[in-house]
Amino acid sequence: MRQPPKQEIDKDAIKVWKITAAIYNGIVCLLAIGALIVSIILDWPLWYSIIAIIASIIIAYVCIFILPKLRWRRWRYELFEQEIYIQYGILIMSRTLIPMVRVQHVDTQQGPLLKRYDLATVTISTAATTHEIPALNEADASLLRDRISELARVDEEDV
Amino acid sequence: MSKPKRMHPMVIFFQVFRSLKETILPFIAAIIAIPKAYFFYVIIGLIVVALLFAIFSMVSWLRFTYEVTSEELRIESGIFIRKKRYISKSRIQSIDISANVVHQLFKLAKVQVETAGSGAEGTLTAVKLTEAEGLRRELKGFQNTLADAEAEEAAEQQRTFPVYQISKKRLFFAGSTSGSIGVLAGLIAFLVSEMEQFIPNRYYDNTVEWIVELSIVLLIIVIIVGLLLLWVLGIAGTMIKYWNFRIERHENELFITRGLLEKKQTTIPLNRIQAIGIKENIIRQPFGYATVFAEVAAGSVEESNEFSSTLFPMLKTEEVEDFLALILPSYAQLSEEWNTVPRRALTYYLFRALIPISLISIPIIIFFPSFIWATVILLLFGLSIGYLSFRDTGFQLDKHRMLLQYRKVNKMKIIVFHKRIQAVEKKQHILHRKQHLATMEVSILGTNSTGAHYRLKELEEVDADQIADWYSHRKRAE
Repeated sequence: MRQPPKQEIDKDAIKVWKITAAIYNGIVCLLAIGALIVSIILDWPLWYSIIAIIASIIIAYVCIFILPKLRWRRWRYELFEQEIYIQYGILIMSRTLIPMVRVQHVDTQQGPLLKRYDLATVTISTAATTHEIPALNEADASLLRDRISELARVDEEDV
Repeated sequence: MSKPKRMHPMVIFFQVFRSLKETILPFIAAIIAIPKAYFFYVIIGLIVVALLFAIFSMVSWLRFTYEVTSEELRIESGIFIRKKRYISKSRIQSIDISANVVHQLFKLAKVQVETAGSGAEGTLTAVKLTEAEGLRRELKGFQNTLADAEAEEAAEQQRTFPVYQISKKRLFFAGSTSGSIGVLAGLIAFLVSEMEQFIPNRYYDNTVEWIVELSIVLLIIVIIVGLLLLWVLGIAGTMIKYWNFRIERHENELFITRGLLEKKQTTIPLNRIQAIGIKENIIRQPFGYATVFAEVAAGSVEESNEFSSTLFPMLKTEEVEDFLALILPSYAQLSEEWNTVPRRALTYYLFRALIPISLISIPIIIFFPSFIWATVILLLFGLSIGYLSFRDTGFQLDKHRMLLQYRKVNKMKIIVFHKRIQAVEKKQHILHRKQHLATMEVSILGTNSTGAHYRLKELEEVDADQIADWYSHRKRAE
């Protein structure tokens, strides 16, 4: 675990994350603005809804313009004959080793946004843990899924 | 045993009794609420319901059959909707035999068959004890012919298996130091003995308030008696639970019998054991006692985890080695040469220990300033726990197994084989990266289906990488 994994995930992941963050934070901002309007109508003190708006704008900026890039830069994976090696986490960096013989099943999933950019998320489950590689391009994802399930199809020895 | 069989007729009574128990409350309510004049009808109603239950139970008993074939256990049940459940022998994880007081009176037993799924999947509420043992013998093995089974049985009777048993005295001690009740009682007793100093003197000046003082004393006495009672109950509970605890090592499984009122037999197949743990409870640790437990893949849901996986409730730490050598030799030979945590990690350990302490202390300081001395004690306690967990964290790597040691409050030692580890994760935050520290998390398949995760915090980064290399199948293959 001295060297980081080699493969990067698809660069379009940043776009998808940005859009997702924009949607969620947009809703939060709208709620804050709604609170302001209600406060004006009902003649409540305004300062806390203004604080809420400012805070939600700052959070939105961080979530939309800073985090996706950092997240993408940290996200790495590498597939070996015997194991899968992934790295993720912005503040707390995690590196995980999952042996092929322990993999129980592999899923790929794709929401409308991911589909728009031809991306897919691969989920790898062992008996005790699940791991997710987000936003691989579709071809890579199904290749990865097939390879993992192929490589994992050994060792009925236990569990 | 190739004909479908019925359970013992006592099942009918069990069933009736259970149904009555569930419906008795509305009847009691009816008896109280309905005027005396209609009392007669209520009684009639009760009798009719009881009769209905009896008929229903009898028919469902008649319609419930089980059968052991060479491959599987077949259970058929249901009055109108027939349910057929075939449990393949090779999928059976464990077979539990238990007997409550009524069972024991009639020499019966309850048999529960578990697979990897969700707990007890085949339950025979009451069969003859001999039958239950026969079933266990038949189901746990894969022997196909009757002759084989008989040969096996004969051999089993001749062979003596390694056995470990608990002594009454030790069991009593286990009970008296079990759980948090001991700590609580100790703490309260201490508080109470110190209380006098913190009750201001003016209470003694006034005769009227002397009575108030008296009632406080009374209250305190009641609390102490209550706690003592709890403690005694704790002892009794442990004694009842682990009475005559006995573990036998058979060829491919561990066989545990225990219990006073309800005799329980549990079978743990060896290949289901994911890891062995040695827990040194903080109260017992000064006396040098430890508990040995197993993480078993998919234990029973009905019983609490601690219950089904305790391999031995109370052992001297020196005896653990002997115990393992006898019962689980592949897990024995533990050394005490740990790769420990570097000095610079101590700050993190102390800091983490102080968080819960400060959460308790701050309200105390704000609302009960006169109890500030208690926060000092808590602080010292927290710091020493933090220091101890720093000192106790460590790991060892063999060719095939890994030993982990850590402490949250109780000191834990985990022995896990390489092939049982599901995944390994290394975690670092920014400060860790600067200081070349790393937290390692080792995941195995735990008793509950979410898996068990063991964390070694703030290891030397080189050590963390060493664990990763040891675990890496790729590096092993090279």
